[in-house]
Amino acid sequence: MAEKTSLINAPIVFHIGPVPIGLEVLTTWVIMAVLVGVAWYGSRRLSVTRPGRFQVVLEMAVGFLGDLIRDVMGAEPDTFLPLIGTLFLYIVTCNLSPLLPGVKPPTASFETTGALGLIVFCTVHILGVRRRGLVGYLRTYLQPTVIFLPLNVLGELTRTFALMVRLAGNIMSHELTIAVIIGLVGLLVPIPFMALSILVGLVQAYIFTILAAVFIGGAMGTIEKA
Amino acid sequence: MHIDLWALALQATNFAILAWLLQRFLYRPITRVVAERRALVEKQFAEATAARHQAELDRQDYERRLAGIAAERERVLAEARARAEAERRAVIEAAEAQTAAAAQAQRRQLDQERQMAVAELGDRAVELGLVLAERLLDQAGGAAVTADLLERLCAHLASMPTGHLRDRGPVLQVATRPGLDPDGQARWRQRLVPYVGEAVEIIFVTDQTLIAGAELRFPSLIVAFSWRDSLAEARATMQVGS
Repeated sequence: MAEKTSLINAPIVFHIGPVPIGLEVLTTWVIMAVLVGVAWYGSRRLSVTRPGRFQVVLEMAVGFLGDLIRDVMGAEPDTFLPLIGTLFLYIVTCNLSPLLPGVKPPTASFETTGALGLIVFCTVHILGVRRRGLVGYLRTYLQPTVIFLPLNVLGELTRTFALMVRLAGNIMSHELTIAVIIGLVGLLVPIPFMALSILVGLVQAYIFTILAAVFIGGAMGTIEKA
Repeated sequence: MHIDLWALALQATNFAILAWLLQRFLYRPITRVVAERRALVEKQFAEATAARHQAELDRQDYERRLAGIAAERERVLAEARARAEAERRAVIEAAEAQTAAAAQAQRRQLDQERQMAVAELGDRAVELGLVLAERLLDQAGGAAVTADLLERLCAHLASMPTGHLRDRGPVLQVATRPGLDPDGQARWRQRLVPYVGEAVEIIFVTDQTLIAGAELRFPSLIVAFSWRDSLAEARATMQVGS
């Protein structure tokens, strides 16, 4: 079933033509199905005057994400909610997925976090150019002087790389830590560490989302460029 | 460590699809419902504000009307008080006028009754005098009284101007009470002739109404010298005095 086993690279589960489907992709599909299913189930019968408990939970979640965008980016959340909101919900779900036995979190692979970082990177530049114009946006790399151009370019690349590595490294290291503890001391001892993984997963998702929002806001000029 | 570009591309695609699906099934419906609820709340708040504003206007209008009613009430009360005061004065004045009229009528009636009583008293006094005079005359005797009357009458005629009784007519009726016997008549004719003249025919009659005394009755003159005449003068004097 798996072609190779690695602590860093996810195993390939199967191929669709020439395309290998790794475990993180397969897990992502399941997570996508769960998230979309929950969203579809929760939004079937929305009520303006008498919302149910599940609708209230969904409204609180969306409201939290909207407030986050409004507070961090200083912009109305409607435009950025699909990106920023989905980033947070997807990463949180991925980070918490190891709580289920046998599930490896997709965010522990660099392909997943790299894809997320790439999306954020592209979004930053696309929205920056759209907002400031190409010249205006490129001119931001010459701030405060032209000497800072290499540093700005390098900073742009490294911060995206850091974004990718930070998330994958944290989740992966936490997974490795739990795996080592299980191997050393048995089954029940890692439970506090697994509980800690909830906090780690939430914090890492929040950090990734906040940084993405800051990068996008900085590129658009709604906040000081990071 | 190596990066699987297929996995990278698939994860990026997966994320884009997930973002689109969540936008379709989560963000858009939820934000729409929240916006509708906010609009509903704002609408209800606006309606509540309008209702409160209307209530405030109604309250002010009510207070204005209440003040108007109080002023109207004061005005009506003042008018009623003025009307009652006017009616009270009118009633008092009418009562005073009625009382004054009644008192005046009473006084007038009392005056009339007093005058009537005085007149009646005078009449009774006269009647009593007549009764007493008749009794005295009866007791005194007719001849003596008649002689005395004749003397007094002659004295009275003597005090009149000379010739005052002449040419008063051809007939002189001499009415006396008590009546004169033939001797008495002769004496009286003898005493009267010097004053009336011899051509005058003297006729003697008895008049009970004279009470006592005599009257010389010419066609154009009467010389009264009787108690009836004296009593009539006394009655007239009493009536004038009352």
